[in-house]
Amino acid sequence: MLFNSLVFLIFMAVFYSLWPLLRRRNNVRWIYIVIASFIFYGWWDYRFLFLIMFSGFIDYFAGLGMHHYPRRKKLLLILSLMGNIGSLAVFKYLDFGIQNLNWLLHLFHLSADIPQVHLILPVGISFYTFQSMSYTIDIYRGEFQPTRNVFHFFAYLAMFPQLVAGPIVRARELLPQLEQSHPISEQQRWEGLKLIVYGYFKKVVVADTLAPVVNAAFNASTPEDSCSYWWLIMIMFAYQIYCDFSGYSDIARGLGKWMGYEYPVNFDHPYIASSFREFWQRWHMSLSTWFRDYVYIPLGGSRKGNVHAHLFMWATMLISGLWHGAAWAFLAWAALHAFFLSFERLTNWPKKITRLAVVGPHLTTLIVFILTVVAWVFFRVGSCKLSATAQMGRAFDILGKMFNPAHLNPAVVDQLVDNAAINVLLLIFLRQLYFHFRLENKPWSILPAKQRRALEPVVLAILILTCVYMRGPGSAFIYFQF
Amino acid sequence: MTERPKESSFFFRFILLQDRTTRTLLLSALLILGMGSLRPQDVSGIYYKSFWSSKATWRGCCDVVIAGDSRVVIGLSPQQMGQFLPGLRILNFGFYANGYSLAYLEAIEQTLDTLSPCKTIILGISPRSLTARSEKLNFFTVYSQQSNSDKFLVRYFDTLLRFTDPLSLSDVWHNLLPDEKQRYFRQCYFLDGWIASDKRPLRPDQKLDNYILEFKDNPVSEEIITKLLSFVKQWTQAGIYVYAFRPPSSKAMVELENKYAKFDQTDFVNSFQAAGGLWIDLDQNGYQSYDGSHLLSTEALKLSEDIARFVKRKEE
Repeated sequence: MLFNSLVFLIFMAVFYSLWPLLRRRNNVRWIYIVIASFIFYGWWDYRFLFLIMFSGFIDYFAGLGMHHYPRRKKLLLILSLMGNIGSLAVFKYLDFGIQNLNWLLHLFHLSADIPQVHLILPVGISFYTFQSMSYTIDIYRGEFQPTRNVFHFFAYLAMFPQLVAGPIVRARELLPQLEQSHPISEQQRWEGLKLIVYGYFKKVVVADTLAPVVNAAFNASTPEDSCSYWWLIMIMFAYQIYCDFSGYSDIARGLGKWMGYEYPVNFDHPYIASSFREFWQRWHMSLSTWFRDYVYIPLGGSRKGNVHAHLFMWATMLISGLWHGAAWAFLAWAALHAFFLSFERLTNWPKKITRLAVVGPHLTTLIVFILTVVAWVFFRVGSCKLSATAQMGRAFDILGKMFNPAHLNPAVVDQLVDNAAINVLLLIFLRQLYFHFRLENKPWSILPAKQRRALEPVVLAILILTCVYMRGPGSAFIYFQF
Repeated sequence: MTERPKESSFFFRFILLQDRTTRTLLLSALLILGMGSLRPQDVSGIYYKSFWSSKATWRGCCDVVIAGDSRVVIGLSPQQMGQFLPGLRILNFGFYANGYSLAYLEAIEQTLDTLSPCKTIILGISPRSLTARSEKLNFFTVYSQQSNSDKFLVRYFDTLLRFTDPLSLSDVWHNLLPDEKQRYFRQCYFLDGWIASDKRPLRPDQKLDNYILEFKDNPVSEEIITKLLSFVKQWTQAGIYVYAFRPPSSKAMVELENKYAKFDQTDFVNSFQAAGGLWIDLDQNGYQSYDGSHLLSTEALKLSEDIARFVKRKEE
C-alpha cells in the first residue's frame, strides 16, 4: 500500500478510528498493529508476508535462545545473520552475482551461461531485514532483554509506518515504547499532523512533479547534448530523491506520533551540510548510524589508526552502496562518496575554505552540494534498465555532457523541462537557502506564540489543499526498490 | 512528571474545535470543497481514469473496432460514424502514445464480438504508432496492467477521484473568466472511446518540435510493420474487413514524419493492400488541427463521417 494512495487514506482512517479503543491492553494492541501492518504490506503481494515472518521468527527465536543459552549466543547470532543476509542475498543479489559470474567466465573463455533467476524484489526487504538484525545483535551485545511475546516482537518489526522505507528503528528504542499505552496529547497530534502534511507535500508536490522530467531525461535512448540541461536534471534529481525519501520518513514519523510512538529523525536538511562527514550525519541518519554501529565500529572504527580507519570507512561505504542496489553503479556512487570522505579527512579542506572571509562557509556548502549532485549521476543510472556496462557508460556520458560548457545548449532546457518542475525546484531551493542562512532563528521570523497558533493551521490547511490539487504525476516512492 | 491527557478531553476539544489538528483538517476540507467546485465542468463525458480503465478491458463487445494512437482517439467519434453505419456497434479502441504491440494487436481482435456478422477493424496508421518506443510506452500497456485495487477505486470512487483530481490555479482562473474560456484546452471523454478535444488559440505548428525529438533515434520499425501486416493478413483471411488510414494532421507534420520517422507511405500502403487490407486515402490538409497533430472536435466529426461513408460504400 502506498502512502500516497486513496486505499491508504481509507486504511489510515479505519486504523486510527479503532486505535483509541484497541490500544489499551498490551496483547490486543500488538495484535492490532500486526494485523494492520500485515494488511498494509500484503496489499502489495501477500506471498511476501511469509518472508517477513520467516525473517522475524529467526530473530525472535534467536533472541530468546541467546537469553536462555548464553554460551551458544555466538552460534545463534551467526545463524540469525545467515538467515537475514541469506534472504537478502537470494532476493536482491542473486542475479547480480550470476551476471558477474557469467562475465568472469567469459573473461576466462568459458562459455557456461548461467541463467538469471529474475525473482521479484520484496518491497522494503533491506529495511525490515536490517531492523530485524539490529534486534539480535543488540541482544547479543547485552544491550537489552529479548521480548517473550511474539506479537510484541512482530509489532516492532512489521509496524506499518516504517515497514517498507524506514526509518530503521532500533529494537531498544521502539520495543519499550510499544509497552506503553497512553492517550495522545493535543501537542503530539498536532506535531504528527505537521509531519504528515510536510511529508506528503515533499512527496506528492515536489518529488512527483520533478520525477517525470528526470525520468524522461534518463529514459531517452541518447542523452541530450546540453550541459545546462544535465545540471538542471541532476539538481532536480537531488531534490526529487531527497523529498521522496525524507517525505516518506516524515509521514512515517507523523503516523507514529499519532499512535504515541517516537521514531528517530531521518533527514536534517542534508544539502546545507558544509562537509561530507556532515552530509552523512544529515542524510538517511537511521541507516548511517546503523552502518556505523554494526559495521564500521565492529570492524575497528578509528581505533586502529588512520590507514585502517580509511579502509573500514571505504568498506562500510561500499556495503552501503550495495545495500542501495545490486548494481555496479551504486558501488561507484558509494566509492565516490568514500573518496570524498577520505579526501576530506586527509586535507581538511572544508575547514580551510570556511575560514575565507564572508564567502567561506557558503562556498563549502556549495562545493559539497555540487559534488553530491555529481555523485547522484551514478546513483540514478543504477536504476536504469541497462546492462552494467551500459549503466556505467551512460553515467560517464552524462558527466561528460555536464562538464562540457562548450555545449551549453540552453534551448534544450526550454524545450524539455516543464515549467511546473522549474517552479517547484525554485520553491524547494529557496527553502534550502532559508535553512542555510539560519533564517528560522532570526527574531523577525519567529512569530509570537499566539499568532503562530492562529496562523499555523491556516498554512497547514493550504499545504493540504496543495497536496490534493497540485500533486505531480509520479507515483511510487523511490526507496521502495531498496 | 507531565500529566497525561485524558481520553475524554480529546472529545471535548474536538467538539469545541480547540484541537489544532481538527481545526486544520476542517479548514482544509472546506478549502478542498471550495477549490474542487471551481473546476471547469464538462456538460457531458466521463472521468478520464474510468474512460481508460474501462477501455482497456473491452472484450467481445463490438462489430467495428477502431485502433490507433492519440490521433485516432481524438479523431474518430463512433457515435457519429454510427449515423452512417446503422445497427453496427462501433468502438474507438485507440490509446494515447500507442504503438502496435503484440498485446495490442491481440486485444484489437478480442474486442470484436465473435458472433458479429460484419466484423471490421479500422487501423489509424501514424508513423509514431509504428515506432519501438510507442510499442513499449503507451496508455494501453499502463491501463491493461492496472492492479485490481486501482480498478476497484476507479469503479467505485470515481466521483471522489474526479473531484480531487489535480487542478492548477490557471484551470480555476480560466473557469472564472468567461473570456478566458475561449482560450482554453478542453477534453471530453465519451463512453464509446472518443475524446472530443479543443484548444484555443489554434497553433498548427505547436507539436512539430516535439515530433522531431520523438523520432530522434526512434524511426518507424520494420519489425513492427511486418508484425502488423501478418495480423492484417490473418484477419482478412478470417473474413474480417480491415481498413487503414493515415490520421490527418497537417502538411508540415506529414512532411516532418516522413523525413524524421523514415516512413514510406506508398510502400506501406502497397504491403497493406497485398495483405488484404483496404486503404482509405484522406486529404491530410482537409481537417483542421489545433496543434498540428490532433483534430478539433468539429473536424473529428467530419473525419468520422468521411470514414464511415467510405466503409459503407465498400461494404455495400
